[in-house]
Amino acid sequence: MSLLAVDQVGFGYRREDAVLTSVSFTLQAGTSLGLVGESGSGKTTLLRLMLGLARPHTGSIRFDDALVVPSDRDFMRQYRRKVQAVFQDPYSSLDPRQTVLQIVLEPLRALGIPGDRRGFVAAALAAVGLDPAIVQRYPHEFSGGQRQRIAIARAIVARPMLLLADEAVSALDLSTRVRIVELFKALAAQMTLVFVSHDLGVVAALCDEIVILQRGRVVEAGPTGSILSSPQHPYTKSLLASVPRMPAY
Amino acid sequence: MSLLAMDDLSITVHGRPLVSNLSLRLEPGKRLGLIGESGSGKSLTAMAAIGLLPPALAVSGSVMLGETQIVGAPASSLDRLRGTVTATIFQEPLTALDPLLRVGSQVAEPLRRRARRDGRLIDVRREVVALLQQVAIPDPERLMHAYPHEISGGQRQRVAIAMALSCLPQLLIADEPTTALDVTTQASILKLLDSLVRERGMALLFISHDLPIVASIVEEVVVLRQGTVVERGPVQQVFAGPQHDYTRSLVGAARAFDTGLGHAA
Repeated sequence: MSLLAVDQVGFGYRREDAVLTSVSFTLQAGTSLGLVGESGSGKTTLLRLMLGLARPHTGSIRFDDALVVPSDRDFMRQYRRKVQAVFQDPYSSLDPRQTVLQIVLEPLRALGIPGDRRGFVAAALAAVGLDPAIVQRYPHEFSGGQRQRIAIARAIVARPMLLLADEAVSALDLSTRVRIVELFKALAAQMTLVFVSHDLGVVAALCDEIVILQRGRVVEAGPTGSILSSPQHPYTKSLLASVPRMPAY
Repeated sequence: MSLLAMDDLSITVHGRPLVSNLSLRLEPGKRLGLIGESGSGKSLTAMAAIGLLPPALAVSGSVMLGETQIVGAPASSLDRLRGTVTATIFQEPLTALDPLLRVGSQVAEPLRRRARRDGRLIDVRREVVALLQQVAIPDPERLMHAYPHEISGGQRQRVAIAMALSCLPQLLIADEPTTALDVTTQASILKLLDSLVRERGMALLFISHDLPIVASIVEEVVVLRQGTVVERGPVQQVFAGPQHDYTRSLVGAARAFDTGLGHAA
């Protein structure tokens, strides 16, 4: 059985403009999926629906065979425990007035998770390669890459089954990006990952499967290797051909 | 003679160094890439070339643009160089364009200025359309009446390029000109820049953190780290056999992402 099943999902912010049109794909537990598309392709909207921040106008999203219903508070409380997110900008996604401890502890507090919360925070920080001794410091004391590690620690502290990342490495410098992608790779071995990105190079390095979106429709989906080596859809082909490549010399 | 010659350029803010003892040369018609990560001083270096640094920064050393010393020059003499000797394309086309002016009017402004300077009478409308055509704006007769928010990001950057070209500069400075664009748009803008610079024999100072893009468009590179040049040379030589540890790590990272994509088509 699949962990996440997106079935014929349609959505629009205004009645006349469809942002997503009959989007379907399934995700097996333990796999990492890359959602690839350019601006306006609907990838962030799709992620919002998967997070339960909005409800599809048509079709359905099922998690662990249960229908995701954003208006059902009890369901959403449980859902938040299982599904967490990391966003693009490590500067705006952390509250500047909170210490690292408060930031990473927040999901445990909000979800009412009992136990040694400080211990969980320390474990999450260690898992993302940060020294747990930093807990009393504030976000502005850290570099972009370190901030993204803090955001990832917050996302994994409640031990979710599914991690959703929206362009989570796009704002980072190249050498930092490599290290954060390595971190996501290590995390993907322990949980299921959906990685939204416009960057095929990052997705190729990280994801087992790829779904290509264009103007709200899935144009191609499949294992990363086969999509990269033999793209079928013209849009996928042009996307691949447009990626700047390192010269072979 | 070099078109652009920087010698021992240092930029500091409140005594804190941002760029330290940087020297570089750019000959007419040549293309140079400035590579670096955020905070490396690559954009500051480019802005120093045209005297566009914020007044709060202290600048020392020498920046010669043609025969003019830029460091310490009064704003009036720099105004004469901007547009005639150099033109700049910035990263974010939405902020580079005036939101209250129609696209055609924005392109017309530097055209009129140039005509006034040269004492020529021009058919502004015809030249605007011709320029928009050269940057491959579809249906320029119609789009010249559009406001920046009504056209796509790629089209906005084409308009910004048209404005830069209208001045017929000897040196085009492009500061991350495709970073804000989608990958398919990026590919077409890079192709456009490459062919326009080639046709007109312009020199190009190209600032980027993206190594594959730099490799596709310049001949020589300067690698900056924390305001200091760590390596320089022909792009092929630097990318094929980086000497400095930092360059090696950058090239290694770029290759790591590239390898995952498989063989180039």
